[in-house]
Amino acid sequence: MRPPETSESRVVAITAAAALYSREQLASRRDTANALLRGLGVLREGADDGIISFDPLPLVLDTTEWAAIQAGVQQRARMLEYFIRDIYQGLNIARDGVIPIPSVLGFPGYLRECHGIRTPQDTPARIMAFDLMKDPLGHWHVVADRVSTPQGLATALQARRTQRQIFPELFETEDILPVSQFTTQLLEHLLVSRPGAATPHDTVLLSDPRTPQAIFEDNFLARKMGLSLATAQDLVVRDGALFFRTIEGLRRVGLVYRMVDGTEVDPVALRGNTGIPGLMSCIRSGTVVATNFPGCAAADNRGLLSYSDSLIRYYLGEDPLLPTIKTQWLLDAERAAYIAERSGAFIVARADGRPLYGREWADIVRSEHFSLVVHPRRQPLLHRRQPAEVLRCFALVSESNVSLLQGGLAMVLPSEDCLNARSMVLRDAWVLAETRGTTRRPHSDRRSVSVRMQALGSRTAEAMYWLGRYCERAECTARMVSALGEARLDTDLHGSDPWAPLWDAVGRVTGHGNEFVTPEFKSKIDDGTAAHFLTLDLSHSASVATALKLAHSNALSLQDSISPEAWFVIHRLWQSVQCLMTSAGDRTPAARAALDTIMNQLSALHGMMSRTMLHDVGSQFFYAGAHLERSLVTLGATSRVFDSPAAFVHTDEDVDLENPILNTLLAMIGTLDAYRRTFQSRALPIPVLDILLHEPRSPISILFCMGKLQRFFARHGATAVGATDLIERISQRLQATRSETATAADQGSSALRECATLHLEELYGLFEELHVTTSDIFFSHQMLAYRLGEGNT
Amino acid sequence: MTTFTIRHHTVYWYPSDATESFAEVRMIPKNTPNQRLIEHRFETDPIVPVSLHTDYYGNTTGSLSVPFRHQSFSVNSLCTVEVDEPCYPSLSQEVFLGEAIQVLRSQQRVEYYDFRAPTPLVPVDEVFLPVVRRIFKLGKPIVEALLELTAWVHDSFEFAPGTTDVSTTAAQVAVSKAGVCQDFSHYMLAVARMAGIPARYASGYIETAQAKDAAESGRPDLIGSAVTHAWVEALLPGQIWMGFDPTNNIVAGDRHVIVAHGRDYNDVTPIRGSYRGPENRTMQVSVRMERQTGQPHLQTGSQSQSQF
Repeated sequence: MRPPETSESRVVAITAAAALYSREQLASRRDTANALLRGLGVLREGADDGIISFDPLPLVLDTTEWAAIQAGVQQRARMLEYFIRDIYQGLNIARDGVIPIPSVLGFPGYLRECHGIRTPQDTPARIMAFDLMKDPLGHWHVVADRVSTPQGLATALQARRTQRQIFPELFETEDILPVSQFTTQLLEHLLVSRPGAATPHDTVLLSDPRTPQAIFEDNFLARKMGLSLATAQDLVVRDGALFFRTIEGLRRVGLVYRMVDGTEVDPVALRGNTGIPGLMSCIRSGTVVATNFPGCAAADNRGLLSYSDSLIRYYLGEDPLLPTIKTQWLLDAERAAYIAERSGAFIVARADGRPLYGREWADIVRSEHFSLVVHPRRQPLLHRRQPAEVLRCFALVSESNVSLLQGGLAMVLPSEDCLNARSMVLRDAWVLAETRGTTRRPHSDRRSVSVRMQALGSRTAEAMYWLGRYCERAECTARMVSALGEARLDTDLHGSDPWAPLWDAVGRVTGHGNEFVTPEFKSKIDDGTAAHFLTLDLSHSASVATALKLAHSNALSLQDSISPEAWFVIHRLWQSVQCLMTSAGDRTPAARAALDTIMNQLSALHGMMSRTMLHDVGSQFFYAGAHLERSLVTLGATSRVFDSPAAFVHTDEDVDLENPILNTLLAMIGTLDAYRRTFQSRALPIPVLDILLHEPRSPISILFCMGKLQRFFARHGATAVGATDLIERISQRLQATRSETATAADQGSSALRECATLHLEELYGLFEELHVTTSDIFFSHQMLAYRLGEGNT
Repeated sequence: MTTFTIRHHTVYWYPSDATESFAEVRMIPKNTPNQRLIEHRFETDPIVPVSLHTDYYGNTTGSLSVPFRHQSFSVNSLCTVEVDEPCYPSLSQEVFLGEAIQVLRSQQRVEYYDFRAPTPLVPVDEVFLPVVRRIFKLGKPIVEALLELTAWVHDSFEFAPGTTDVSTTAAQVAVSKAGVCQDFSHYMLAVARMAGIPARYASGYIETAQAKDAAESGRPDLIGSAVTHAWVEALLPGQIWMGFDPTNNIVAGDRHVIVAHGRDYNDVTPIRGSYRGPENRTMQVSVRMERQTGQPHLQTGSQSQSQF
């Protein structure tokens, strides 16, 4: 009979088993893990901060060791829960003299705006994390409380998956407590605090897209928990409630899982630069629960570590179970000066936990001492030659219970300056089951929290729409400028300013005068710099270069929604335009070269988009933008040309003479060849109108674009009813244009001119209205807001 | 007792449509031992609800949002308030500074911490030291020193609207010696705090001297003229806050109506907000403050004035 197996002996056994692997074997498994993690963005290519590698040997915690950690963490979590409640209500801890007043009121994480707000079930922080470090004797010490926005949970769970992938055999024999259901547990735990379910609410994970490390973390958690990932821009406060902008309209949000800094939730109430204006007032009135409570950062103050034991005794009447790293907060300038002179004896860290580097630390001690804490090196924890082992534990806190992730984020930090480490090695953390075979396997019936289909966020949809518009604008402007330039070289036109109607057309679609070109633009036409101005001038808001720049910046924000191939085309295009802009020499040839490049690459982009991208709701917004832009360009340009007598020259005469103005217009719109094939005649007003407006087979005709937009809006059903109505009006107006211009043509060219211009302008106005409506319905949600507003008057 | 009716009107214009305006306002006078708020209401255009809460410093704060398109947004705060001439116990006033500072230092109360600590607008800086040393001599009665400081600021600083803005710090004012009531108050706060006296920023309204004379003599042209105003309250032994108005070189009295207290201007900003829309909006603020003297007065047009 075998002797009863203790968990310590199993740790030894695992270590021994691992020792059987050769150095090369371990290195190759580590490389596999690193490659996997790099693909996920956990390890960042070329970065020397953050996680730099994966250690294939896990941190193994036996039953006794884990039980001690667990009890200590639970105690600490309960203490901090009391602490946060206290500092935002009575602040008795300071009134009773247990801690100095500045340790709360002098810390920037203490938000006076949170004072007096009661959180649901009086539980301000529903998830907390604690960093524990092992001393050379094997005892764990708390080195940081992470209550405000505990980070690293996703990385911890991913470490387990990675470990399983590279070392499946170790999991065959050992019974390790599972971690994978923790996200479901977390979701259910958070949902308890949701405000009353009178109306269906959504839960969002509020993320800060500016922090690169957060991208993996926040995406992972949102995906695993079935939450919408939102940035501050995606959320809006209306009538005292919070809403998420989606293309299906505004969706009420009841619970915000906050992954942004507490000081960045509301720029008005907290006087910051980012956030959602009005969110604090929603939190105060209880229509929204933000968890953790924004004021929780007050508990992350490293300076409080020096009072941890007193806090536990004060709030819980218990003796502390886990020791805390020895810490002093440099509130006192004299003390700071003393320490500055004995730099070797201390490790200095920022009280708010941000990494400390850059300047000579002794300088910082003198000038910003109150934002610093010091840890004396003469304590067993810091007296080390080995790298430091750190375990970040995650705890779910409710009124009655604190439950831990059975594992955690295990890190190995360089021994020197382990408290300010910029880089770390990641490992999995194993908590062994009491005895083999007792582990509860995850339930097979995934007790899933209902996850509904997430509507496409308005931000993404709007960026796609504008990407479509800017690409189309760049292409249209490029073609117009190029066609007009060629026509002027080929054709001899007489009279003063014979090309004026076409310049008016260009001016109209690029914002240089609605009827006739503005004087400034006229002067550029006269001195021959107009082509360069329209093509490569970034100071011009509608130039090709500007359109491409804006397309590029939209595409940049869409990298997860457009295909890498399409992104590459846009990126390359913008780079080549930048090159052309800086290239010296004559401006006009540069502009002409740019026009060719741009037109070629933009058509390549369209092909690339349709071949490589999912034809999903996102790409529909791209095409909707493109079709709308094209309609506006065609109508704007045509209207200007038809308002000029030059469009009707030779029309009434029975001679076979070209009308160069109409001819060039067709070239500028890109339909000259199609016209020739369709009509086999010289350019005449009615057929020209026909091909530009009514030709169903021509992808540039208004009828064609309208049909595409009609199908686009029809897909969104009732949401898009306002737009569908407009399309109906456009359709009627198109029919009227066709019949009435035909009648007017019989009465002579001046009647036709008047009739055509009138209808074209009407159509132009309707498409403009269609843009506003599209933006109202899908992006800014103005219509809904207006109705809400009226309801309150 | 004096009764005032006050109309504080703020309007923003946008060159094109703005959406999603959100504002936090602190415009409702406080109830204090010598001031009673009789009635208050907001009128906004467009009409939107205003929700109220009390902030950390006990100021009534309103939140309002205009979520739909608008080209202008105005907030009109209308109130009636009764003010008594405050009376300060002479005992507290006559305590010598040395003793007063000791008493105050011993009162390490949570409530006073904020009014001792530096802020970005009211920093600790060597530039204040000469004045602290010259005026705050330990053998001087505390109120005498504070009055001397009030008079010194009034006499040596130039009242120059437009030379400073909401981000001007007390240290900058110490050098430029020019500004408006807000800057004078920040400067005085910095000096008082450095001298060891807790001091807080007070924002509210003041009936101008001309307006008072006009009301008493029945001259309608100046009646109701007023401005949004700022002064300083210093803590005296005995837990008494006493108001000093460096802009007018007076002790805050029954022509001052207090709206909000804070560490500095940032805590009491009358209106602060955000919106989406064109960048170059314009703003106009006017305050009309009328003394109720029992006789009906002619209504006059509002004076347009920004912060004084």
